[in-house]
Amino acid sequence: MLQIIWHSLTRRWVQSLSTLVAVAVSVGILFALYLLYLGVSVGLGTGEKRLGADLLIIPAEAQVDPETVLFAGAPVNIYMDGTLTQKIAGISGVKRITPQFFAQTLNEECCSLSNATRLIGFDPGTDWLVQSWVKKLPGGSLGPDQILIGSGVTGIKGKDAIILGKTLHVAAVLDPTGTSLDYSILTPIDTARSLAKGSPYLQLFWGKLGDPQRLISALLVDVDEHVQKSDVALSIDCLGGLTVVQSSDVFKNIKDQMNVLFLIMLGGGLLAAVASIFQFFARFFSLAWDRKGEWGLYRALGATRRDLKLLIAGESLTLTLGGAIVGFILGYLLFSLIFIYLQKQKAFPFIEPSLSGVLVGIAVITVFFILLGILSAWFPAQQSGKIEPSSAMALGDID
Amino acid sequence: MLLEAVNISKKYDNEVVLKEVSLGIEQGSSLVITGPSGSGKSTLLSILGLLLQPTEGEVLYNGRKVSDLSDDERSRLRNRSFGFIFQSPQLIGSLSVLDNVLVPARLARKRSLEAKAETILKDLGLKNRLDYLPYQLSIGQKRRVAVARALLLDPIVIFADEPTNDLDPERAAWIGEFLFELPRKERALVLVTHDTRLASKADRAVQIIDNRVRDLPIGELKTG
Repeated sequence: MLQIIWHSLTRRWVQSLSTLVAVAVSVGILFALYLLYLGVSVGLGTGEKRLGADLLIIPAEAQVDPETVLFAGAPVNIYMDGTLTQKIAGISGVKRITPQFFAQTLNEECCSLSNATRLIGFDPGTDWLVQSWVKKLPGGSLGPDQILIGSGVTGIKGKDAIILGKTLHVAAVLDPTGTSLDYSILTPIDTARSLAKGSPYLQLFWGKLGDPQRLISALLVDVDEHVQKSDVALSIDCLGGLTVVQSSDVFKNIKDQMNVLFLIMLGGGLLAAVASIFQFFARFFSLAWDRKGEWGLYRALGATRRDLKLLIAGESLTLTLGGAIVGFILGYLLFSLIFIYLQKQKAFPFIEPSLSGVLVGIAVITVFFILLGILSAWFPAQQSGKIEPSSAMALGDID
Repeated sequence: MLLEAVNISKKYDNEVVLKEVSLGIEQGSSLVITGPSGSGKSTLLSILGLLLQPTEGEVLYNGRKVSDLSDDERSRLRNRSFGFIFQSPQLIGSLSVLDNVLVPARLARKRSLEAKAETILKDLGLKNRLDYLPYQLSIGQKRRVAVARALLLDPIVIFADEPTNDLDPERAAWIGEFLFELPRKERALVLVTHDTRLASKADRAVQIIDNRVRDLPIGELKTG
């Protein structure tokens, strides 16, 4: 029976191939969309959870978007006076505050990072964002010559990295967060300042702004639960010279943008899917008329009505499953291409989907297309049941 | 009796095609059904071959009533025990000669019959045509492929409906000789034909006249 199904499909190879390709394209688009949506959803959720700060404060003159600070790993050289930390800590409603100092690696070709990467100095005394990782380290702290690297940082091989001329030891690799941490190198704030101070490429900043030991790049603030974040943000804004960003607003904006983008992409994907569904149904509806002769002959030669139904369902399922398998490969390739592009942009949170998430997507899409295959085979299968074996007696040649 | 029709009648709507027809065929013998066009020869062949249900009467195979079997059981019996050669060769155009012959085996889920199919085709003079498609064959070659397909599963009864139609006298004689060799190999042959020369080779011949069958003396056919 399998051989008959195979022969039946291969001898109409143009029809079969076009149906299979239509299914593959639909599955591919839907699968790639699913993976992207999953990656962004998990990235947003994890980023929001891991960011762990209600407000982000950066210098007002900084020519960068808050999204870039929060989600991109590219170097951001923005600085402000470090005494702001105490001033803001004194504002009513501020629960806790921690400074960060940004520097960057160089484009070194040997033994270090191949591209400039953001170096984040955090304050071990006040930080609550990376402490969960630091506590897991031997001794529960990060030494001055140690670094933590984000899960998406490339270029570091082995346990050492030469950063701005100094060899530092990799203490741990962070779990994916969906934020800029994934593309950053973290070190105690004093180490970061010391490295930046010695960098000939950053002297322009120190000449203008003074000693980096007194500077910070960003402040992360948690607000008391009973206080409105917007009220605290307004109070900080009143100090002047600062941009105060509510992280929840940033995530909400990104979510909204992503939803619009996904709706557009989903529309395209669904159109492709609907087109393939129509083609699939048309193909199998036409079988009921095209192949009466062949089915009549099979009946005369001993095929039962059930055999014919199996034959039709087998053809349909072979095409849907074959198309789905090709589609999953195509979809993954498409997703990988988009993923590479997104990694370059790094402008919004994204975490590569887990295996279980991918498998769920494969299962749901496969079940959907199997149901489609069964539905499309139903009509011709019903028609085949009406074919009498005696019809073979009156047939001419069979195409 | 290997195969027997008992009081068979067949009506299409209100038109009577066969009326109280009874006949039988023994293993290793041949039966020819003749009659004018539209007299019901193919209908009788279809009923005997379990391709068509009679309106009344019954068909017995090895003494067992088979016309009342379920559709699936009749299908399996056709596949296992009967071979059919239709009026037109009815080959599937996009299958090779060998694959056309193998269709009944594949419906029976029997594998490893390629060698046997090749042997039958070789016996029928088609050794060098195994990979040909039907459109590349002459009508005589197509007929032989249809014969090979009918013989592949070693059927007990072969039903042939006008198997020499459209053939030149030489090819028709060759096919006829081949078919009438089969009963000698413990098979039975039921053949519908207008060809009196072919019919004269049978062990028994019947004619359908006015929806009923009557025996034709073989000698009459030979002289006629």
